[in-house]
Amino acid sequence: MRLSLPRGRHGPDGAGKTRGGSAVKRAACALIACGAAVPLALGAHSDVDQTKQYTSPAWTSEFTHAYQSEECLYHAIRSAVPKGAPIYVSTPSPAHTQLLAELSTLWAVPQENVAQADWALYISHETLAGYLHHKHRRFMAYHYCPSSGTLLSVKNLVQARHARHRADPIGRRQGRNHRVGHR
Amino acid sequence: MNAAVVLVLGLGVPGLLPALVAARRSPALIFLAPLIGAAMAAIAAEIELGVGGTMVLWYVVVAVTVNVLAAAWWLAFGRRTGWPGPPWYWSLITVVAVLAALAYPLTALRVPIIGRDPNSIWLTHALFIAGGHHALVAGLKNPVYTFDNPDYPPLVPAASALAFAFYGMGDLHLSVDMTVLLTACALGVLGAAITMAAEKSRPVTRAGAAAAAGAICLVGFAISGKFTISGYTDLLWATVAAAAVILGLVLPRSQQNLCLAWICAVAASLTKNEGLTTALIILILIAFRYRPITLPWRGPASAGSASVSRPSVSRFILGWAERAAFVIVPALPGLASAGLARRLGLQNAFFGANAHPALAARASATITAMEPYLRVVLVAMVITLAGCVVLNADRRRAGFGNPAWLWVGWVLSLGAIVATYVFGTLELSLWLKNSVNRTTIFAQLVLYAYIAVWLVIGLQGALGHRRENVAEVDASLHDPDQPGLAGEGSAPAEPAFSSRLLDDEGFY
Repeated sequence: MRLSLPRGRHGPDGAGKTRGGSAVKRAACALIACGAAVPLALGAHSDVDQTKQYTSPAWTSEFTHAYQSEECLYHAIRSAVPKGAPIYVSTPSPAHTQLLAELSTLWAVPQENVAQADWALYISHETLAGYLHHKHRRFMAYHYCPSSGTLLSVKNLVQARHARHRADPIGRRQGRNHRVGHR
Repeated sequence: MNAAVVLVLGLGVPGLLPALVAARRSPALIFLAPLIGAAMAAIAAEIELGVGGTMVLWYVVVAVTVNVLAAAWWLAFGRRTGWPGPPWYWSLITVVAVLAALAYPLTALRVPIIGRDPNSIWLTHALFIAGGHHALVAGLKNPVYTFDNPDYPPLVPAASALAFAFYGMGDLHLSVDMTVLLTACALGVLGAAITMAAEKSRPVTRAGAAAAAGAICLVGFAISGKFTISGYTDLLWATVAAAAVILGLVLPRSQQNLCLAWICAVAASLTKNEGLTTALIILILIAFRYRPITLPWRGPASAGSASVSRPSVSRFILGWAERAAFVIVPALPGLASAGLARRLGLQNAFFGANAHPALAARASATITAMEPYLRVVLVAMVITLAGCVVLNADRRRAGFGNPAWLWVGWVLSLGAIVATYVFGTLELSLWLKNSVNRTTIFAQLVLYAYIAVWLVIGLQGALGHRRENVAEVDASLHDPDQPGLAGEGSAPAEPAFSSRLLDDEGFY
């Protein structure tokens, strides 16, 4: 049975649009709707506060510095190490080790063992004086990210091994060679 | 901006036709298309991992195949169902409301935040995928990268890899932008699902539903805190899983809702391991809701059919085969990802060799840590109980699912997460401290979404239904041309289901 109802602009406009709804029931329904609206409104308001915080100048500055530091390291790895080179990442902080491993992805190949690597990457938070102090170490290259004071140190393990081999051709320092790996 | 271009052109356009076939006039259409595109990219990444080649190449193949299948399905069956759903202008109003709500939290994307997991997991995986098959396999199997949970599914990194294919790898924040925009789309789908509860309501109720849809988008960002805006994927899987619950277990049963729920479950299963577990639970419940078991003391008599009174073995087997298909088919992409990870020997960091002996203590500590994040449960329970007392008849008449479906799904999905903490081998206190605020997002969001649905049902009760609604139901009962779901013959969708209910009292 198809009911023929007059259609208004927004659908049927017949009177009595509810089915058997008493005033009490309507009030209860309104109460449920209001009760449901309260947690939603509170949650929405909470997001407004949070977003205000995340876009505040202090947060913006902090995260911009962190991101610039990461970008700096990303490009430093690409300029310091040839593409496809096996690298060894070693930092005191696991977070820094992870960061260097992931930033070298698709450019260098992180190795689990230093013996298999041609380059070693270190990261430390240094002052500029510390950076200049380190600068004269052999077989090392340094990249300083001023935005975060992060120093990326890159050691050429191949050159270091060759130099050690030239200085000690018969391998008297076998223990050390064994540890580092002789290629 | 770059991420938005990739979202629209790279993911949205290839996903538009399948989204149109699934969502029709629903406001979910515009938000669903990029999610379908991302799911197709994830499937392409799985093929890259398992077979070879590059993700971009396979993405083209998968997108063309899915679009051809969608077009074929539309030509064969879809045209008969017409364009069910609200008027176009109501869909447009809902879309505008949701976009307006999403715009504010998305302003935080101006700040280049990258979280720890987005860096170590999602960005790294995106770079692996962008590098092609060899780089992907070598990277995931490299023991140096064990910290990045190499067995995680590929939806988010595949979308980011597509963005890298568009714009190169100079901008690391692009992957975060992609994740956040996909999360926003997922929230849009959830909001649209809530408004679908008011499809046959009066304009005031629809307006209330549109407001609730906007509110749920803000609530989603609020629950997840800074995690979403810094590129974590927890809100993404939680949102699509919550949308699957609302569409598949709460809203009236229909072909459209089932299809949308499946798509959401696919997206959840391809986003994170927790998403796969939760999606499986939801899919099983959906299978039992759409293909209910006829209880011996209810079924034959209540169905009132002579053929049903002699249930044959073949009918029994067919029923279970249907239920199994309802679970396995949409879960296939997620299960394939898990299977590939297992075949390659990829292992996450949560389950080591030695199980922890103090299981009871771990369970207690886990529940204690979760408690502050689950206070919305009380509110949801009170509203559900009040709704069941006052509006149960209205709920059943409108075809909404029994609240038990949602609560069972909620308990099971939370139980799976608790079990992960209990049986995992990581040091618990640090693990909980770092993750419990994220692993409870689904449990919170699905309840907020359910509260929003009750808001709509409450408004319907307070303001009344459109009488046209009654007329439509009466008419559909006598219209032999209106199609139902597969296997339901020519009977209309809702009445056909009604004849196979678990019980006469409307446990559906």
